[in-house]
Amino acid sequence: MTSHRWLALPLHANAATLGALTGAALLAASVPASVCAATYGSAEDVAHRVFKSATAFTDVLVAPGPDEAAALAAPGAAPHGALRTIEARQGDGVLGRVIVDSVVGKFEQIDYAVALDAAGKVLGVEILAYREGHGGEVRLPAWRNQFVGKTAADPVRVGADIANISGATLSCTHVTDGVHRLVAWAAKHPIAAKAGA
Amino acid sequence: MRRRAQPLLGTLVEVRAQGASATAFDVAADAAFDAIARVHALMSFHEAGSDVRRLARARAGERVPVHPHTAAVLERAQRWARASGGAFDAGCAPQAVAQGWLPAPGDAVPPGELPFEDALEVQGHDVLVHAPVWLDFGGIAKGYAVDLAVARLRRAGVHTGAVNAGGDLRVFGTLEETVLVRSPFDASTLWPVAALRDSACATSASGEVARRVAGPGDVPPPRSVTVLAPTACAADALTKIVWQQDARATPLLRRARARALVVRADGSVWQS
Repeated sequence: MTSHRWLALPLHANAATLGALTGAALLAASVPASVCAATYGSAEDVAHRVFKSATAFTDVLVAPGPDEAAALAAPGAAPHGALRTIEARQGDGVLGRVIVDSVVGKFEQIDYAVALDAAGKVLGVEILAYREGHGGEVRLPAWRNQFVGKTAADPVRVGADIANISGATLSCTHVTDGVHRLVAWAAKHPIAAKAGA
Repeated sequence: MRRRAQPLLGTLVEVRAQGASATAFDVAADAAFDAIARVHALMSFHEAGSDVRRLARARAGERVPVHPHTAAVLERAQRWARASGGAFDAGCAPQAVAQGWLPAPGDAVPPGELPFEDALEVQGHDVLVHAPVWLDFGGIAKGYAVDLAVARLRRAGVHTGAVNAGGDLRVFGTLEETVLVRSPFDASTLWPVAALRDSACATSASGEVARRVAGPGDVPPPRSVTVLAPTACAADALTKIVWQQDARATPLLRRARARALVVRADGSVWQS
């Protein structure tokens, strides 16, 4: 049964008519969203979901060379650090890999994973985590650092879950651009035939 | 609550389910994401192979076969256009191209003057083109995709959950969810405005929120329109109508079993 109702807010003082509530009065009734965040899953989850027939998964950390580190970074951003990849194999055959990356927008950081088949074709892109802070805060490295190494099990102070925010059109342009950079990198770095080779 | 998210429709699309096993949820979420990706591919003005672009290449008198989803969205868009006296206009792509919001389609036939609801006629799986039109389903396709994703989740056995495509939100089953609307005056502030159960919500906003996205420059004054409706498609379309008609949309909102919350630039508020 469909039901929706407005919550009891000071807004309701003027519910029936054109109210004259000021922006300031509205703000007083609001929730400060210091950080909006949501955690969706891990790169391992993505690897297992995409490569269902895999018999082995290998974590491979790849340190890109100076030129590659620059090419992997968003325009204007610092060179990319080590890339975390998970290679999927079935017996002796290479199925593909999952590459983990993070993009930082003006107001948000998005961790995501790209699944590529052995030929480098994109099989899927999955968001691992989304975090948003105040415009000023999110640009500070300290704000970012507080999340480094966090997992779903770690408590992250959350002002609001993004799930129910309306009017927050989150742009995924950064993710799309990041995927393009990873695909270009992967094309030049085919997966080794043998794990760890 | 299980949740996954993918970058689709130019935004972050989140799918949630309660009471489903991990395996069942994965299968259901895959189906939901696939459906959304399909809608995007069919109705994107950016992609030359989309139904929308194929329609933009059609001359008067041509009959264009389209996917049932495209026909369904076009019919809904035409219903909203007629019900709102033209306030809902899916034939607005030429203006969006002129503004630089959409890329100019080099392969398209120049659009005519006829309103899109009169220029195109759905006949089964075909669209009969009476006059050339450049469609922009930006005001309705996202909501349609959310509804479709919910249908896919239900078909896959998920009884309770939610789908959120960048603020076009639908909850289904026994879940009651509080919806927060971002303040058009201050993007870091959220207002808990409504409780939804088996219902949908969409918001169109400008001002601080638009500035976040667009960067500095000419942006409209802060303003936000939120609509609660039985489906995400209706909520999506109605935000565009209320944006233009404000309280004059009251009869239409009532007929659609929908409600609106308008926060105006001067800080005044109207609720139906």
